[in-house]
Amino acid sequence: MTADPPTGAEPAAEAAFRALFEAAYDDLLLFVERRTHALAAEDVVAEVFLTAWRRLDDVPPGLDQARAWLFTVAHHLLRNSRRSDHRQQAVALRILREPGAAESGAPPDDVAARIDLTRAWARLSPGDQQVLTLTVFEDLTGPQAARVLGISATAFSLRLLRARRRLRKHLTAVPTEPGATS
Amino acid sequence: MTDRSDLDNQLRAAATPVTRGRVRQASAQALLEHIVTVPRTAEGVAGPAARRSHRTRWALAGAAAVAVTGAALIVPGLGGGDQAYASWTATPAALPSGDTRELSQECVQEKLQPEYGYTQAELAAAKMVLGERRGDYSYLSIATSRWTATCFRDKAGDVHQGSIMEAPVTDAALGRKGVELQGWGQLKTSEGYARLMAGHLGSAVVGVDVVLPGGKKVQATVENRYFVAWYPEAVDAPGGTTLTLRLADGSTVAGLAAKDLHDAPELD
Repeated sequence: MTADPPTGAEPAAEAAFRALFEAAYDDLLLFVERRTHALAAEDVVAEVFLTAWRRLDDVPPGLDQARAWLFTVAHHLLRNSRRSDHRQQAVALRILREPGAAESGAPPDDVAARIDLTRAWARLSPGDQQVLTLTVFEDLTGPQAARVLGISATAFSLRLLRARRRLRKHLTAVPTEPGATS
Repeated sequence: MTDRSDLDNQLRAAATPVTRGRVRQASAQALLEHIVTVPRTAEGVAGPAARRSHRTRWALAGAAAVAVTGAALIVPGLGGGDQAYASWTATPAALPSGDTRELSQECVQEKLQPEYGYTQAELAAAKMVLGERRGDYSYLSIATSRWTATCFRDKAGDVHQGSIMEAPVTDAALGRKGVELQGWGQLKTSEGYARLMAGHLGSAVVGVDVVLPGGKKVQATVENRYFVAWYPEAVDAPGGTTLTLRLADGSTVAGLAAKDLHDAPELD
């Protein structure tokens, strides 16, 4: 069996895909790792990039927009995967590290603030964590993040406002535990 | 109150460290080399709906419109007579810098900080604070890199907060002819309802006209890629308002439905 000779457009398509892969792989892997088991992350990333390769004409130009497109595909794949596993519950995002050894040399106040923030984050719903993660950690604009979630930008903007408000509320409500910084 | 940018920075500082350069690992490179050998004719799997239009309209834009409750007791007019907003004009005048500063600071202090945690420091670092005056009324938008908000001073001097929007699109996404409608809400004052709009423009857009149902034009205030405009509008007014963009080369982009722009910006 011999492969069909490449058309004139194929080398350009391959070059564009390689550039996209090189530029977006790390961010996409991180996006997926935050939302699923580490062992499954590479499989999801592979499927997303395969989709991008097959639908390269649909991938918007510009890394910023293309990256958001990849995130959207990944979000859909992860959601469908959860549905097929009959696990409908939203997944808490693995974003913040537990304060610990890494802060051993940090000022006590900084460690305490980190602990408060981690606890406040943990009290957020997965939905609130999701909207904050998309903007704060994954640097998507509101419209891009809305597209990932399949909601209107208006709805996303409101969710983001409410999530920030709840995080601030949790931060101010976190009880001080004597000895927490020791 | 924790400053929002401080909060974001604290979150980033608390995040699990990110490992970069994993694309160079053997497994990633093997994946890349495998994928480019796969025929591209197969249909893709779950993903965003294919965009077949000549223009990429990726994103959705919008604003948190002001809640509108109760019946309008006063029918807004478009200037003249004893109607509400009688001194309103279709052509704006500039808002003096002192008034702009005063209204924006009052708005942050009285409305935006208590309600949303937006701060005077963010106002001071805003990308644009653009104001205008129409008759007895002052109106402005505040655009920062993270949020936008509109503020209105009625003829009694009271400050009202209009729309807010988080995470606006970037300058780059708007290109030359793009437009993001960042504010599109109805505000109720003692004189009745008014439609407030504000937006962010592509680099080639030098003017914006708002075309109301029936054809009346409202000239927007435009400066450095941002625009603001407002007009009296009954709460049950028919839809159909459109925007016409005037470009630096003299051409125009007409018929952009405000309702559609509220859902999705035009990206160039």
